[in-house]
Amino acid sequence: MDAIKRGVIFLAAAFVLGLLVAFVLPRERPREAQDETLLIGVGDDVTGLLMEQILQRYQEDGHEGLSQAGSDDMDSYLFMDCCSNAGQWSLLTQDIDLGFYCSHISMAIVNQNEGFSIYSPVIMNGEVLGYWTEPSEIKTMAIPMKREHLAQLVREQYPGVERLEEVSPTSILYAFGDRQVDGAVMDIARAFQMPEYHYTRVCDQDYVSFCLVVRDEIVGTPQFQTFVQYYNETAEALNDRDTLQELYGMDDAFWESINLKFLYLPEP
Amino acid sequence: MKEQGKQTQARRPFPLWGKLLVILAAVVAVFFLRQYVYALVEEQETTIGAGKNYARSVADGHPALQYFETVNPGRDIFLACEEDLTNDGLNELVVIYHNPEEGVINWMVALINRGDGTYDITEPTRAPIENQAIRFFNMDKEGELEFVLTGEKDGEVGYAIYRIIDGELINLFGEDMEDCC
Repeated sequence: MDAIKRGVIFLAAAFVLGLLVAFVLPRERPREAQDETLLIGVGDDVTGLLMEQILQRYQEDGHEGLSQAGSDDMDSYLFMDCCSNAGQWSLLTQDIDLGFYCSHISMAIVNQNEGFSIYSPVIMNGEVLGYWTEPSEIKTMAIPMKREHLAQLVREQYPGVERLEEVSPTSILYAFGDRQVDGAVMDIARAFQMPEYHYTRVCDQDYVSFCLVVRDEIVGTPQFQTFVQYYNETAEALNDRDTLQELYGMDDAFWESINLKFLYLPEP
Repeated sequence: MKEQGKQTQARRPFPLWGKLLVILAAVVAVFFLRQYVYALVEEQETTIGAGKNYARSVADGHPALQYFETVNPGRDIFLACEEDLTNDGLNELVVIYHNPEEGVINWMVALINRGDGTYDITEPTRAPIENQAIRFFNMDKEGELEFVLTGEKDGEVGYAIYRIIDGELINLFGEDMEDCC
């Protein structure tokens, strides 16, 4: 009996001690609003170019803005493709706080995981159509992998296309350059790498290419407010055609034929 | 003897296992209270963070809504929000509604203001089943406003961005809302 009593007392004491320790030990908390860097995920595409300009503006903006918001408010995290597993997991595992994703993946993320929202669309008409002869004569068309919204758009806009080939975004330019396909829908940043080809807009009607997906709890932080401020300033600057041409080259005909728009984020 | 026995019983100390049980119960109660409080705080923080400026529904007597109800009698109206979507200085009305004769299907139309008390009603497009919300904004700072429509069906979130183009509601987002409609 004594042995049983001692055993019960020992177990109970251990249990009580364990629970008390639970109050004292640090617990997992959401990222603190203060003294944390906002990590922003971008793809190797036009969103990467956009983020590059945001960070450049942020760093060049003198000390007033930085000291108000903290010295190290934001940084970028590059994933090769927003539709890749790494692109999605980096947000879910909180390696990043927010990221630019194509509309299809944006929906997938917020549908499959709690605590994430589409904050706002960010880039409109971010893809271009590369072609060899005439867009209307394209029979085989390459589109970036997993961009279901683009596949749907191409089917509607180009009924003459007989075959859609899904190609990884990084190699789509090579598939097009080797004439394995008659035309290719690709991110505008790819076109900047090969300015000698013919490009035009994918369709006349506006469509959303990329959205900003955020973890809900970061929306109220001062870092996010700083990000929105710099994002909107950068978007304003990049919506000027001359600025874009100065930064990324390409001839006048190219800029007249495409319809790239950087959208504005609402204040949090 | 009986009196003596009762006194002895009354003085018997509370057994050790009983004390331990009381302590355990108290600690467990505190533990669950702590979890509950933390959950409340986190929920509050999440709600604050996710705050967005969704549009409010207009009052029942709104002229455009009355026009809609006259043209489409017997509809259940879930949401009716007004804003100038065509950049002509006149407010349009976006209505999300349900036709009781059709089962679990919701629809959305926009009433485009002609300026004479009458409206052009766009073709109906499917709308979310639950938690519908509309947020107006001008995402490209050009001409017409756009609006975000969100909602749910069985936990599946829907998200679409609409703009009125040539008298029709056009979804700019590319992803249809079939999962939440």
